[in-house]
Amino acid sequence: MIRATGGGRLRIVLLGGAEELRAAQLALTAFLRDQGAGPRTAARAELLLEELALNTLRHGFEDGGTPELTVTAWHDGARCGLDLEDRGAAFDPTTATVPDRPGSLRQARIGGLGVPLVQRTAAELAYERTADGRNRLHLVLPDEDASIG
Amino acid sequence: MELLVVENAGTPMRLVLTGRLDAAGTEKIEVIFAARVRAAPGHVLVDLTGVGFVGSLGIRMLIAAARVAERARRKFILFGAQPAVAEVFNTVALDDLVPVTPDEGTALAQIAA
Repeated sequence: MIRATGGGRLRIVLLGGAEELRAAQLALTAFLRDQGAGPRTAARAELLLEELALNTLRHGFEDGGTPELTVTAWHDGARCGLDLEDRGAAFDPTTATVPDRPGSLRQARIGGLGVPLVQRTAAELAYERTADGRNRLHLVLPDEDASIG
Repeated sequence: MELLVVENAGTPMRLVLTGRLDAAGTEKIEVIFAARVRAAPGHVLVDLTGVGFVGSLGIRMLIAAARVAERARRKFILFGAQPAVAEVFNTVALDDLVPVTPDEGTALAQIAA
């Protein structure tokens, strides 16, 4: 479900399908570009949405519950970002260990790149586990011309 | 996501990807992509000119395929990444693991080297 809520905000509810996620990414880009964000900012937002949504919806509910993730994209005129909320297992991507960069292809892990991408792409990342069992993640996107990584 | 396989005798096999290497796109082609790399008779070039987005699942597919090619002692080179895709590659230092060149000519020169 994708709904513009006005006031420079877009609300998206994701339930787990890859095609649904793609539709959300395209809506996110359209929203951010409409709000005046540049193409690099929109591309980074799509990347962050993909990595965080996949992580939550595919791993956050392995112990039960119906996968559901609410994403609010926002633009305040100067900066933009994403707020995410779910009732899955507690997971703090701000403190999750990022593996060292491998020295060779043979040593490289296949997978596990989502959290490093999030940590290195977001300009600001804040996590909270609420008393009623929700993960809340607030992230700010880097400026259009900022280098990342 | 579309995968086109271009094979000409005496030249590296070229795998042309077009579309988005997001979760949906990667899941659509990863099995056949891996199979084509595994069965490649020689070196492999991956044309990313038509790829507008890549996420971690797409990178995982490329690393896995590069490892298969390395085990078979074949070169595996990516070329033509658009700026948004190149930024993601840089963020995970993919070019530390897999050769990434700006265009096909440079990729062919690396194969010949």
